[in-house]
Amino acid sequence: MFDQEKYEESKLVLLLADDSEYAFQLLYDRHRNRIYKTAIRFLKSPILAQDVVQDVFMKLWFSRKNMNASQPIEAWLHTVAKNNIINRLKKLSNEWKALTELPFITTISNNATENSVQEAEYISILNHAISTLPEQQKKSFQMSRHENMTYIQIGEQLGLSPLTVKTHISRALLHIKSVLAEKGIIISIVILTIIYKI
Amino acid sequence: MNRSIHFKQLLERYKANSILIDEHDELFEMIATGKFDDSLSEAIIDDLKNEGIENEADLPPHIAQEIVRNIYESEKNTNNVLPKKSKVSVIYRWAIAASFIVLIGLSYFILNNDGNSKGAVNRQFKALIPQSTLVVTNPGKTEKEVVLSDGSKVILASQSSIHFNRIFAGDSRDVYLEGEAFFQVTKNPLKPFLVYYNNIVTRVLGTSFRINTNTNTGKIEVAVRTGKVQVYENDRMLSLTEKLNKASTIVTPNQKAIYDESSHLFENSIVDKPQKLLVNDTAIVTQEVLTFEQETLGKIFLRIQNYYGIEIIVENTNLYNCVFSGDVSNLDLFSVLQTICIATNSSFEINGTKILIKGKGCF
Repeated sequence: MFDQEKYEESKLVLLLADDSEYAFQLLYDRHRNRIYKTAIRFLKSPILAQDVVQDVFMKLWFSRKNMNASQPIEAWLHTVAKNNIINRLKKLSNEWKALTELPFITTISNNATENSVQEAEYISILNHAISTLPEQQKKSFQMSRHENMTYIQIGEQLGLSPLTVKTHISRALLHIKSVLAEKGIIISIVILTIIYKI
Repeated sequence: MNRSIHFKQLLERYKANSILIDEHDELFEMIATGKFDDSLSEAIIDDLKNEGIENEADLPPHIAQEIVRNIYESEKNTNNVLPKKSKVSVIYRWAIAASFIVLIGLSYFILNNDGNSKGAVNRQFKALIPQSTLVVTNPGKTEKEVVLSDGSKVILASQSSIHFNRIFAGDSRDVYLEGEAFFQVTKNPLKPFLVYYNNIVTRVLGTSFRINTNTNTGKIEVAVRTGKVQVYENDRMLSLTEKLNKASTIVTPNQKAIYDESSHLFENSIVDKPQKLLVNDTAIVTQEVLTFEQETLGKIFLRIQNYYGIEIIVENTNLYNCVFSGDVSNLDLFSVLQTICIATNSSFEINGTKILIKGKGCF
């Protein structure tokens, strides 16, 4: 940043302490997009990124009387934004883990694929189970299994966050497992995934 | 391989949307441990400093404006009076409530807000709703029934939506309501049922309640039929100072809590039409008749108190000496009181959650 700009920003901070909405708007217009774009890159969701921007500037407005005009405002905004993004990312990670750790990926049985007749039967039951899934779940599931797309890619295509995609797929797997269980087939999802990919 | 280098590689691929599913799991696992916070901080700060990122979308202008509005609006809200602490006692008794039917009427009215603050609340409330929830909307003119995974039923009024998880995985069963609905909640004391409605959360352990929109009061109302319900402000909708003074109240049968959004206060009072108490889903007291033969008011008030769960206090204990005869079984509470008061030359008024009887009494 140029010295001129730095000088100007320190004046803006002084104005801000005097409740200037004009100064606030200038700082907001200058910094909001970089915070927004960074947040999107880390959180993969426009809604969450909007919340980050709101949190950061809400904090600025509420702290306006206590800002130090001799310190660069940019560094302050970046620190607040960084902490906010990290907290949200950790929360996402924990929710993600919770989905990953759902109990259906535990047992692995070997006799499930014993012979090809059985296998064909499984696949037809499986396809039936998939056809009864709700639309978004089916799409997410098929994109991940058939087209080997990642959650982020699927999310981009369907306009969903990766976490939502993962939730859809987890639910699809649970549904399929319960359909299979109704037919008396106890099969691990690991095996199921393998069969389906064949 | 060096873990931190590995982390950075995964993070780069995640940012570039080229991460594989297994790697995504691994990366999030690593982030959740908190051991890579420093690398993460560094990466985020680098990006924040990095000017002009190629063809990525800016914050849409209308949302940018809305955010600024929300910020100014939330300051106005924090300048309001601090909420008064309402009397909250014997919290552990909620567990008992699990076995009761609960009827809540909750109404919310926005006329006295200006357009901006309405937008602020709704956006904030909408942002609260987890992205992974299912949404059922009732666009029609008739009610629509929705069954949740725990067996609970929601009857949605027209123009209303309910957001919920297909599987209630956490410690509570959270649903987010926009509009009006009747709930019949399956008992599960271990997993309380929480209804989020703009600024407030209604916590129920029992079985059924109603949430509706009333256009007369300008305030949210939670009225309980039977059981016990806690209503409190939602932390996530409050500023820091508000959080320290978070308003909360417990509502018992035939009471309602009225929430005033601008002052952040709950006020408890008596519902418009008190009903006989229900125990274990059935009105076992329905057979009981309220017939009195030369009975003292002391005993009569005790009966009525147990019948409706509403406390009756007297201005003057001499009133307890008065006697009353008559059959008031088929009258509603207020008519019963009116009849008794006329007969004993007294009057009654509603005083918060209690009924106050005034008069000289008898000797």
